Amino acid sequence: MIVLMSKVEIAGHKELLEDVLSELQQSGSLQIDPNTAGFIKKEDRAYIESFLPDDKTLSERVFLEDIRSKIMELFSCLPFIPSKRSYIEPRPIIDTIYNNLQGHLAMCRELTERRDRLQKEIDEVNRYTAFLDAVEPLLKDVKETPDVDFIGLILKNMDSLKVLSTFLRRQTDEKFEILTAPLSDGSLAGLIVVAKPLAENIKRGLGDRDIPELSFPPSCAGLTFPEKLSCLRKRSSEILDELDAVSMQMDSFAGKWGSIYRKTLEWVNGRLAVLKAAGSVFESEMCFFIYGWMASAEVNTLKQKLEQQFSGRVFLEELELREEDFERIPVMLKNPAYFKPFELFTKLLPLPRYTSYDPTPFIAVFLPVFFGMILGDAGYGLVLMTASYFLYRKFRDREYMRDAAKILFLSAAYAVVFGVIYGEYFGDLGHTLFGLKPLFVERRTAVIPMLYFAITVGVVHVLLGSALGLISAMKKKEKKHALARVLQIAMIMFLLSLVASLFGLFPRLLTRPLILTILFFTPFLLFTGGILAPLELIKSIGNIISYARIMAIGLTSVLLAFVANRLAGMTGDIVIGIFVAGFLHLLNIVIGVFSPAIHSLRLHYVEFFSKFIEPGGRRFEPLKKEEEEEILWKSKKFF
Amino acid sequence: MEIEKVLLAFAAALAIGLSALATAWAQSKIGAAGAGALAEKPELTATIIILIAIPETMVILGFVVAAMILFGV
Amino acid sequence: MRDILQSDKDRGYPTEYLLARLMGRRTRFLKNWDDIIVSPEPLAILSQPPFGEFFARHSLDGAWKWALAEYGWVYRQMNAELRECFMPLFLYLELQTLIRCLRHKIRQTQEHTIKILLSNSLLSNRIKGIVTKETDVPAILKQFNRKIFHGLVTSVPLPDVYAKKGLGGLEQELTAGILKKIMSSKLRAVVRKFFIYLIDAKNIVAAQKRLRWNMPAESSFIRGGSVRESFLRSILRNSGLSGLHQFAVRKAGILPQGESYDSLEIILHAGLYKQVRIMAGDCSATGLLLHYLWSIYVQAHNLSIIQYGRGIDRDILRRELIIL
Repeated sequence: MIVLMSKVEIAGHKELLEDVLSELQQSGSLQIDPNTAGFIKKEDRAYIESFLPDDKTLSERVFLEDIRSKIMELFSCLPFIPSKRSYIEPRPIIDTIYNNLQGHLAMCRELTERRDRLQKEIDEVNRYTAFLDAVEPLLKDVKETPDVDFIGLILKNMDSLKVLSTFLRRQTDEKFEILTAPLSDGSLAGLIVVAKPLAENIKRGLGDRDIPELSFPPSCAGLTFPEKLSCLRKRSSEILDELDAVSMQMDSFAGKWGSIYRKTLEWVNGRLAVLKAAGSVFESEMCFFIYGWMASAEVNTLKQKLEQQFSGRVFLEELELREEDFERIPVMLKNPAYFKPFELFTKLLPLPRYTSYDPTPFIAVFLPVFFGMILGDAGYGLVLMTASYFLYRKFRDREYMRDAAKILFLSAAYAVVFGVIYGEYFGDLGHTLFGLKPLFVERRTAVIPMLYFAITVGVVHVLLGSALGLISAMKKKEKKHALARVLQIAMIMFLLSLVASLFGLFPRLLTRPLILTILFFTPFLLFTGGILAPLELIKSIGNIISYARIMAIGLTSVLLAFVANRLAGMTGDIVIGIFVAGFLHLLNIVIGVFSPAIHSLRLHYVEFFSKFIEPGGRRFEPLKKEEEEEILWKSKKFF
Repeated sequence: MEIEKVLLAFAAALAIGLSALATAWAQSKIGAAGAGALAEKPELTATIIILIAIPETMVILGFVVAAMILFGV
Repeated sequence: MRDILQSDKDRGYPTEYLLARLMGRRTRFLKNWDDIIVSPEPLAILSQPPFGEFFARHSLDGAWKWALAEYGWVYRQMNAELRECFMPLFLYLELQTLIRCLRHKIRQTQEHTIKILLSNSLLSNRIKGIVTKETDVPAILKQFNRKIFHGLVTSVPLPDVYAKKGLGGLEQELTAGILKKIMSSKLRAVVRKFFIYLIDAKNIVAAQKRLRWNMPAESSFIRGGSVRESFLRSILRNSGLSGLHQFAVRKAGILPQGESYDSLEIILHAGLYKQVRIMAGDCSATGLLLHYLWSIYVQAHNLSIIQYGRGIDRDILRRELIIL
């Protein structure tokens, strides 16, 4: 439901402003509106103007923002080490913290740089060692002599080897040797052995062909290949040790200081929020004025609290809501426990306007019913209820999953109810084994009656939507709009009756008067709803027929279950039969979770809500303290 | 009599088949565009689900017509 | 012509997907240039996303770096059909990257800028290799002449063109050659229309320059446009620069901001941008894509004007921006 909101004014002596703002932040129930339209009376406009912060506030703001960006940078360098919440109060010691912070930041920057450098080096060393490992066996046969040069390189594949060989043959007059060994990533390590005088030429030629020569780090220069290998291995283990040391240093730092800086960040953020809020405040010569919105239910509590806290020097007054305010009132949704999980679906939609409806209760009431109508199998329903119970148990600490499990449980319960009505227990298994009969209708054979049923559901749902649209038009005193709604509802009824009488469901005699009535009302419809009104009407009819999916998708589910049982019966073997049927039923259950859910949702989003919900509401964002959890979450992004 | 039955079945198949093809075609286009829009603006999720679901009505209508043909309403 | 650009085996995405993404990305483009130019600190926009990272540390040619990154992104998302269709446009744009790199090469101090430009560019690895490896421009051009542009764009060897006319002349020759080549290939109607206008604009500007600076009447006229050479000559003969100016304004369909003849190029640019926008109006995939690609160019142009126009009078700057 959309929470009832009040428009309020808080006024007091100027010097109390900061304390009042902190108090408001503590209570977290007021959204400050920086726009005065509708708040300040015309005759008062001359005396009241935007609050201008003094130099002290401005410099404090700059200082705090600096601290914030520094702490954020610090967090971005550090690993996340969960630690106890710190109980240090940052306010009195903020200067000390700031001084420390600069040193710490420099240290962390240096550590990060060192880590990156080492990481880069180890990558390189690994590349060399991989190469050397590969060519080591080849080298046993080759002696390193002063007049021979070795050129190491990495080739993409056999094709590039062929190209290279042709090139070398031409350059050296066949006086070369090339040794290759496969590397783990599919490329080839290659070693060209060639007389020294020719080497320079070849190296240049390779460069032109985009085949880079593998040049070893200078520390290994002048060593033979086996010596290079051992030198690199030694370096590699050194680097790893150094890396360990660096990350240990970082860990211990994060463990020691992390919680203090998180606490500081929390305080800085809160303080900055207050300073920022001061920018939306107004002042006269002596007083400050805060204008804003809050839930009507909380007005009295806040009023008393402010009066007590500031011994009557700060007043809260509720202002009168005017018609033009409705566009600007921020929207807060609050639902009872039964509806709450369904806010999961509402969150996907844009926020409704204050004058419109919260979609949540409607989804909560109808979605499980539609789901049940479509799935409509007691067996499947029970399986899903059990599954949702385990889901709930397993993900108890994750809100989304908890809500999803609750929704599934409810929907599955309705599936059981409709399963009993349709007489479906794992398809026709209940009937074959225990002779269970449908209470009202058997979906598999009664296709047309089910179609009528589904369409009837559609008529009721769409008309309900239109009626709600009518109510909201009346609430907003849009007479023409409301009249158009009434006409539309009437026309839908006439058209449906006409169709029913044409199909022989209503007496044939009614056909002619109905046609005449429709023709009579059409001009009125055009007059009230504009040229697009008939189109709107046709859309509504289309919307109603769209509910046929309740029966259509249900039918596929029944048939699949039926086929599963049939196939199991045809195997003639009880074990294989159970296996086959089990597998197909499982498949059907999986489809049976998604398909009915998506289609029921679609019926709400497209067919139902389009009739009465107006999107475009402004979210209620009160001035409040950021919880440490939120800060953690924000800074975690950097880890 | 038999040929009439065949024709009816054929008509029903056409009614559902063609509308299914049309839905598939429309959904492929909307789906691709929707994926693109979603990559840029994830907050449009619901709108895009709705947009993708809209052409489904075509196949449902096709199904209704096919059912009417087959069951002789 | 194909070895100038990278050949990408990647299959890309469906056209509808790409168009939807471009619609979203387009919202990040700057539109209110008038407000930006009169704002107290126009350079502030350069540090905002999505431009910030390109102007931040290595600020030279930041606008073009951003443009190249954006072009590269679009190119990689395109499917084979679209890539084929827009190949000429990418070719024309990457030629400018090449010239930019050569210009930095002459200054010899901007190896880093060259590296960044090339890393975002769609030029083939072969060209990139030559540009990074060789140290001076004649050597690069020698390699180009032998390996890539051989007989493709001009009959005179590239190093000779450079020696005789300098980098500006080389740019003109290469552009003319590429445009000639493009016009002789098979083009989609939208792309062809774009290039016809582009060639016309280049010819008009060249004619103006020739007259103003009394340059020798050596023909640098590019064929393939809709305005004939003889027609341009007759305008110049009969009514001189002012006649040419009037003709350009009529062609662009844009009201000029000032009377200065300097802004002729900008007027024609704005006219081209307007044409592109009209072509996007029919909502065809090619029209919309062309509009997006050319908007990137316009953004980059305006951004670089703002970047390098520090301290210049705002009114003069305003006249250098492409604004519709």
